[in-house]
Amino acid sequence: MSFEELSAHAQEIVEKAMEWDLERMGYMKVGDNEWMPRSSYGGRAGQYPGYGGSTMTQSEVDADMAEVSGRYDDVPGLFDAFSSLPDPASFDAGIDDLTAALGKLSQGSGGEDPTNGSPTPANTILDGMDTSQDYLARWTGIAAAQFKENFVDTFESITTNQFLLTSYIKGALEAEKSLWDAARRNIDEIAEDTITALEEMGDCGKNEWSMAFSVAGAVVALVAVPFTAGGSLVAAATFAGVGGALSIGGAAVGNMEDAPELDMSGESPEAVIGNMREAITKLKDEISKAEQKIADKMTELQGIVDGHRELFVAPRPNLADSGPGDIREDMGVPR
Amino acid sequence: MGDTGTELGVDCYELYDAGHNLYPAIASEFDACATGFSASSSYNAFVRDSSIGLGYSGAYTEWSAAANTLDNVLAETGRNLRDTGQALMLAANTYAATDAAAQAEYDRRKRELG
Amino acid sequence: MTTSTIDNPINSLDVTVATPDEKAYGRVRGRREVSVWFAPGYYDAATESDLQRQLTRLGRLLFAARMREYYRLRSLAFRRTVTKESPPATDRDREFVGRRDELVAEGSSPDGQIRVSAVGMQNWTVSIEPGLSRTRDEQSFLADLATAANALVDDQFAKIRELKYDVYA
Repeated sequence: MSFEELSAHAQEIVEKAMEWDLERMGYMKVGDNEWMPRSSYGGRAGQYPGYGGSTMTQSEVDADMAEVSGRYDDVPGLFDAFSSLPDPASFDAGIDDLTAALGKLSQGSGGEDPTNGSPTPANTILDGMDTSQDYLARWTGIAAAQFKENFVDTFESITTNQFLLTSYIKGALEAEKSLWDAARRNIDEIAEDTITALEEMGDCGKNEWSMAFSVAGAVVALVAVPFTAGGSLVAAATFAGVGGALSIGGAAVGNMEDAPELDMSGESPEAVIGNMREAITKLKDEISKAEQKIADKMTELQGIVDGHRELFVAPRPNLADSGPGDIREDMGVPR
Repeated sequence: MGDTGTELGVDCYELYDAGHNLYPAIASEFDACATGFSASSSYNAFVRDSSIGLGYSGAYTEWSAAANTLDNVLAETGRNLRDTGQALMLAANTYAATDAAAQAEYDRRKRELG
Repeated sequence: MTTSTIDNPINSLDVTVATPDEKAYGRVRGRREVSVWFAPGYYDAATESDLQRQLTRLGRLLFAARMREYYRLRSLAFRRTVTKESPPATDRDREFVGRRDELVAEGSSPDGQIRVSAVGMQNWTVSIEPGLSRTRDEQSFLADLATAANALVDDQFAKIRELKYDVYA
């Protein structure tokens, strides 16, 4: 893919468009960016009888040049903004860090990462919490009992919720990665297709092609999963995350429609480049829609955590602040 | 009414096992999650021309808010667990010291089981 | 001509056809380069009217093969399979197609003794000056034929361009 050559492509689009227009107006290329009216014994009769004996003045020639280049001088700018599209690889570090965290939060028989459906081996260090349940159960003190009930007994479901939360935040980065991967490809395709279309305009058939906006399918909706509280699902805390088409495997839900397409055709540079402008506008639109999906999902997720904080972290146990003065009261006696 | 002697020693060792072995290990896992990830290190990844998508930093604001919340709950879990572990070790030492037989059993188990 | 920043597969077009009896062969390379040759011994044995008939048939076959290959390569370039042009959709399209069907493209050898023409690239005429194939060896005949064919292709491209200028300005 030649995404890095975007501005070189833009330059070529302008040059090819101008060449066609100037040739049509009866000009002939005599050097790099140098054109002169075709002489009467060169080719087309009529318009510009001969440079030497022509009635065209230098300023008329200059005016033609300015008019033609003015038709397409917006083209480089249209592509400029896209040269800074995020590098998909720049999301890898965050994805890797969150994947490592997932490994640490995985319990029991292993968790399944909802953003890609792949199983995560369990972290057996977490089993220690289960082991400690019996230890704490024998102490009669209120603080000890509260710690067991509100921290130890809830640990499994809270950690599961933290696992899911981590996965959804990772999924958003994977969605970004897929979005920018597709966006880079799509803008490059628009540039290259425009050049090809300008090159093929002179052939005898209808000059038609189409653009598929794969960026529209880059951010994939996942199956909704409720967070849990002690073994029961909390319907009010149900959330459907997003993932990236690149990572998704089989975990997606109904996001596999065909990419939106734009049919294009043009037998003149103005028609071809008009289609190109339309494609660029549509691409920007699809990028915004995809990115909005990610932002909206993160806002929704934040809302769920804010509204149900107890699902994601246990309150600080009183026992955590016990000192020599209150430890015996807090623990009670062991039975 | 409450264990004494050797049985108390065993109970104390259990608290010690939780506070010295099990809980710090789990807390370290949570600390590692929290410190191993920082939302701001992904900031540059989001940056692009302000005419594209949701603007200069795209969805970073919304994403990093959720990511920072995650970081906080993990760090909080680790901290609470570590502190409670300390309290349990205090409890183990305190109760073992009340009874010679308990202390002996407590020390023996620590020596043999770690 | 600008050097391109893309690698257009259509630039590598290269197609060869033979007449059904495999006596005459034609090849198109790139945009415009046409060459023709005969099966061994055919040129010496054939009459002029044989040659005219073969070459007329070859012209039509070569154009059809060129267009098939053109669409195959165009499909690669635009990443979507298209095998022929869609029906005319506008008044301009209809005018273009109508006038294209009537376009006369012509080419001749330097001495004018071999002349080729095509109407709408469908009705081909190959005229060989009587007695020419007796006086010319095969190589020099084929060289002159190629010159005429290439001139026809250039003429067709130039007229198509003028037609597009006229209809789609």
